Amino acid sequence: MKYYLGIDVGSISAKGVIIDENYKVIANCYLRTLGRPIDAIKEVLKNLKKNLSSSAEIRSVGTTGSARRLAGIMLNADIVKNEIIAHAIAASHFYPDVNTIIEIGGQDSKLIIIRDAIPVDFAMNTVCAAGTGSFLDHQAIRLGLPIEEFGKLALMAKNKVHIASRCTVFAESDMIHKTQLGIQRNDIISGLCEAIVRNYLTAVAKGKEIKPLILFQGGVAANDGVKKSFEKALGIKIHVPEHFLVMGAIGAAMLSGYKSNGKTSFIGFDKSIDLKFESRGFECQDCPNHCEIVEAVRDRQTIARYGSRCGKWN
Amino acid sequence: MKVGFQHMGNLHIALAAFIGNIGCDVVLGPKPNKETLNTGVKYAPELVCLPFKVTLGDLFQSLKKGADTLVFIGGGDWSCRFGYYGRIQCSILKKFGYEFKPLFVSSENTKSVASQILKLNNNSWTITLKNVLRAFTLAWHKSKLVNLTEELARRTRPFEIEKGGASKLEREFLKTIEEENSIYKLRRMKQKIKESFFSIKENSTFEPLRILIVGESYCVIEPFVNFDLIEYLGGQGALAEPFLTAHQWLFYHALRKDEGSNLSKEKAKKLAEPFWAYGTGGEDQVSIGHAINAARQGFDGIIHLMPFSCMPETAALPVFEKISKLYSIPFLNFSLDEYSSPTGFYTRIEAFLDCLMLRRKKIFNKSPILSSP
Repeated sequence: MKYYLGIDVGSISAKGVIIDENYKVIANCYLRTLGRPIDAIKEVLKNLKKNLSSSAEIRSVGTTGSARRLAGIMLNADIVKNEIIAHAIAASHFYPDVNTIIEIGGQDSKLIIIRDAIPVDFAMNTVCAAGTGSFLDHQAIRLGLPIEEFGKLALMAKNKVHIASRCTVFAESDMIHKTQLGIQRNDIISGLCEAIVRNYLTAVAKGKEIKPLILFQGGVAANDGVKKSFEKALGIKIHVPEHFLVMGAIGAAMLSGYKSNGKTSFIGFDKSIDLKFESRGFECQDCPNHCEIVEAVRDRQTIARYGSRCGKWN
Repeated sequence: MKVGFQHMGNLHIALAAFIGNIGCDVVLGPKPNKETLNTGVKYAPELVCLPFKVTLGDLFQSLKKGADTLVFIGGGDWSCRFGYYGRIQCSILKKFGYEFKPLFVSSENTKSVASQILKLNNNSWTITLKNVLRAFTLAWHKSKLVNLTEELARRTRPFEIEKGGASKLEREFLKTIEEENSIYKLRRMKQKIKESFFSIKENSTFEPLRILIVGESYCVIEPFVNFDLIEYLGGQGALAEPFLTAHQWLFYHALRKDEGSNLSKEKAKKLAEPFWAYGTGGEDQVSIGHAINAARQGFDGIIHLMPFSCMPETAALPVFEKISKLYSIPFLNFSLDEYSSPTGFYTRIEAFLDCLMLRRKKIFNKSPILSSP
């Protein structure tokens, strides 16, 4: 069988999928990056390999996410694509009628507007990470709750509580303040979900036309509380696709498949899992720009450098 | 007299040619860089717009190199904060104990500034009218050549078979133009510049995306604040057209001479009038006019650059969105400040270009397959 591999390394989590020629998901893996993207990629590959028969052939590899370039260099991927297009491609394959994608990940939230199966507009949060996955994570830890239960507790809320949504700092102090007043925890969590949605709609969506069918993707889509708040705010039903966690990776795999000419440049599972790969950075001192140069080293050989404005190190 | 002033793209080449040839020494810091920005951010009011910070840092660099006279651009008839740039920057610099003579330049007082320079200079040098005319002609030629070089580089880049050739040629020619002081030689250079760019091997069947860049002048013209947007777009196979170049800016504001290539300032304003009756500062009205013109000419998309908290451009933003809907031309806005990172910037542009490519393929009924640049 012929398969495509997609890797999506974001700020908080690393995702990987293997899809077949009909873009059916054969194996997928989701785990936390924990600040070590290279190790996370190896771990993802190890997991994926377990689900693959030895005769399987990887025809092409695509990478996406904020560490797409690093992952692409490490694995010698066939295509490196931004996460907006990756999400859009995967979504419009599984749901040809999709018009809107709400994607909330660890560090950023996006809105992708799709018309007739092609992305026509998008928005990303700009100056602030309020209302993204890592903020929810932080609040779950502060309340001593596993993040997986966060959404369920929000659904059990009995009363409406307003939490400030402009900024995470305000949201947090508002939450603490309301807790100290004696308001129920579930109500506060539910208020937080609504605050996140409010923030998303004013800071990211900014009046863009949100039409059904709406898909909710990314890590935060696991949170039923946020999903319900979206439905309440928009008055439209929201779908969470089956593979909401790995849609970006699926998109990357699909894109690599489009481009594939049958020969992949991928260095292979075994080689990449045992790979001696590191990235190191230094500050170039040749001009006052002081660019931060990243150097990717594979098997003690520098294979790529990037980050310089003048192009000297590229 | 040692004169210092700010950079804006390659504007300094023409300005230095003029000031340097009427008996003054030109003392310029390096082109805007991280250090310039950090200095500016340190001394400027926190909430002021980005160009203020960068140009303030820039003037600091001139002073550190020994400038005793500073030219402040900005002031006068602008109804936005740009109108206060000169005076406030001057008072900030004075507060830090620097001694210098300030010269405030704005559109309506270019003549008086010229006479001020001559007056200031009277003691050390006798300037004849002939000298001034020569300096002016030299600056004029240099500015035109710089503009030509930039334009050819911009138009060649997306077609290049081997990436990087046009940018390299551009850098080389800009350096030659900056150093050359003979009007005769400059005149002859035009042909050479054209020939050199035309000799770059091109993929002539390639149809690049056409992108118009509009917004606040400094953000559009200065590559340091827009993360070398024009060069980046070219490298990604997109044909970028800024609505305004340093040359056009200089000659419009210094002489009220419209050097607009295909759309004059007046025409642009006329086009914008139904949406935006008058300019509120910056180049908002002209930008809007250019956006409409681009939509009519079949451009693929518009990128709008503005400093974070810029009053006129923020006010004009809904109009751009309206035009984008009305003429169905995709539009991407960036508000830039010292916290902007090139990573997020390039990710958005990459996605924008992909969207445009898919859109075009759909219009021409081709399979929606993305090619990697």
